[in-house]
Amino acid sequence: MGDTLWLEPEKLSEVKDILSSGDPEIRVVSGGTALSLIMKQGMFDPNKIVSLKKLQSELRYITSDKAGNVRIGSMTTLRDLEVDALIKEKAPVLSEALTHVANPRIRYVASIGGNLSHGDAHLDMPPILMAMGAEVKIESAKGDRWLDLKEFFKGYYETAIEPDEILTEIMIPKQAEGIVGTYIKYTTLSNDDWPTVGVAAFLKKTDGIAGDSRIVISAATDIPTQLFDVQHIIDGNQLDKTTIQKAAEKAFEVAEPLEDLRGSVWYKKEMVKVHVRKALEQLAKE
Amino acid sequence: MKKQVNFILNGKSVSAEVAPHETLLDLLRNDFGLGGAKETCGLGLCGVCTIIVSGVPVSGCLHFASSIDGEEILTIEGMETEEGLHPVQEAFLNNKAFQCGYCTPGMILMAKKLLEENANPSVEEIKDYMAGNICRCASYGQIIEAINEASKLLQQEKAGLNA
Ligand SMILES: Cc1cc2nc3c(=O)[nH]c(=O)nc-3n(C[C@H](O)[C@H](O)[C@H](O)COP(=O)(O)OP(=O)(O)OC[C@H]3O[C@@H](n4cnc5c(N)ncnc54)[C@H](O)[C@@H]3O)c2cc1C
Ligand code: FES
Ligand code: FES
Repeated sequence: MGDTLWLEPEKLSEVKDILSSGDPEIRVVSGGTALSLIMKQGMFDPNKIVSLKKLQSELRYITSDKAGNVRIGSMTTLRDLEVDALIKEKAPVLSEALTHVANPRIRYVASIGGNLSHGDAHLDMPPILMAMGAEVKIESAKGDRWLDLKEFFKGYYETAIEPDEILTEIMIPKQAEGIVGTYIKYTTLSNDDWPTVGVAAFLKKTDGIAGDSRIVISAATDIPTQLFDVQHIIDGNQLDKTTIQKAAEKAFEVAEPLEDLRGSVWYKKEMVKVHVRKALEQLAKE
Repeated sequence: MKKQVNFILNGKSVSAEVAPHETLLDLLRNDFGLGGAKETCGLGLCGVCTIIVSGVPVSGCLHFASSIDGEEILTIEGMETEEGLHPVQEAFLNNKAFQCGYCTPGMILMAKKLLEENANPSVEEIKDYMAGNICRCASYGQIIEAINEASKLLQQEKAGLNA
């Protein structure tokens, strides 16, 4: 311990050069709210830390492109997103959820790139962004690639980012006309705790008939999980009591939660059911 | 490997040698003898370690000391100026917004930033913003009153300056 070298490159290209050796002992740091905790607990001791602090002019932005998609630089803080007018307009579910993430002190520092790259199952941004069809840009000295967030989370604290890569941008596609969405964060410890179960639900309503639904559960499971079987029940049907009940039962059946201090497997399955139902009831009213 | 960081601490230029695992909180307590911010939960939850880094309150217990090169650091010890206590400090005293005082430095720094962003917050807004600062003595009622008074004091001060 203690041999770690702290680097503060001033350009993205320099970061990519440093990472190009592919050494897994080199770690990128954005806000540091997650990495500092892991290092303090002695769980990880990288030999180099590459701070992105000086890349704010390159990687801290929120814009929309010509097609109406929202583009967010990976160093954008959770607080930037929470108060941003464009996000409030294009992704209000995200702004609202952010008011319940940790506390303002953490949100001022934690970045959206760090939130996704951390790969922790108990985070609130991944299910919402996944349900909205977000994609991420991953860059390395070898080139850039885009990945659908659905393919990004690989396991407990595991993502598709390779050691020589860095996440640089998040793209939220323009949501079609008539799409409604919600996110329910259910906590069992304190109000601002990490979620026990998170349910993000987006769908399109046409004359009361639901379609194009995207139901993603998180926190209970090791990675944010889209419930396709539940979506099949919803799509093409009236969002009435029967459909909602069937969808919730299906969610109970297909969810594969992990037991932890926030609840047993059975309890979390029940909570998935309850909150899928609540999310759909909310959307039925909109 | 230690890294040299140069920064402004409560208005003065200083430098220090920091280890990669070192937190800003440990640096300020151990190398600079500033005891106002304290490690309590060590997890970012309680706010007792609040420190302002270039205008933004952070949890000192989760902030890499190596990252503060070139930043301006403000701790509770730097709040008092030659003109006296900061209005937020005055308001906490006037309202007896503490019992043991353990959480107070963090509360004051957090409230300072709140009032910079929102000069006249509602009680709900105060509660939301201060939710990550815990007071074991549960002086919450008085803390909210103090922030309300500080809001008035700061607005008066501003009006006075503009007059
Ligand atoms: C007390 C507390 C409560 C919290 N509660 C919640 C909550 O309820 N919901 C929620 O969603 N979040 C919550 N968070 C925030 C979350 O847990 C993370 O701490 C935060 O989002 C990480 O962001 P960061 O920028 O600080 O990441 P860092 O600590 O800088 O990095 C985290 C990981 O991502 C990697 N990384 C960072 N940036 C990049 C990049 N651009 N490319 C590739 N890899 C990168 C790092 O190497 C590291 O492995 C909470 C945090 C705290 C401290
Ligand atoms: S000690 Fe840092 S937030 Fe509790
Ligand atoms: S006054 Fe004692 S902890 Fe707040």
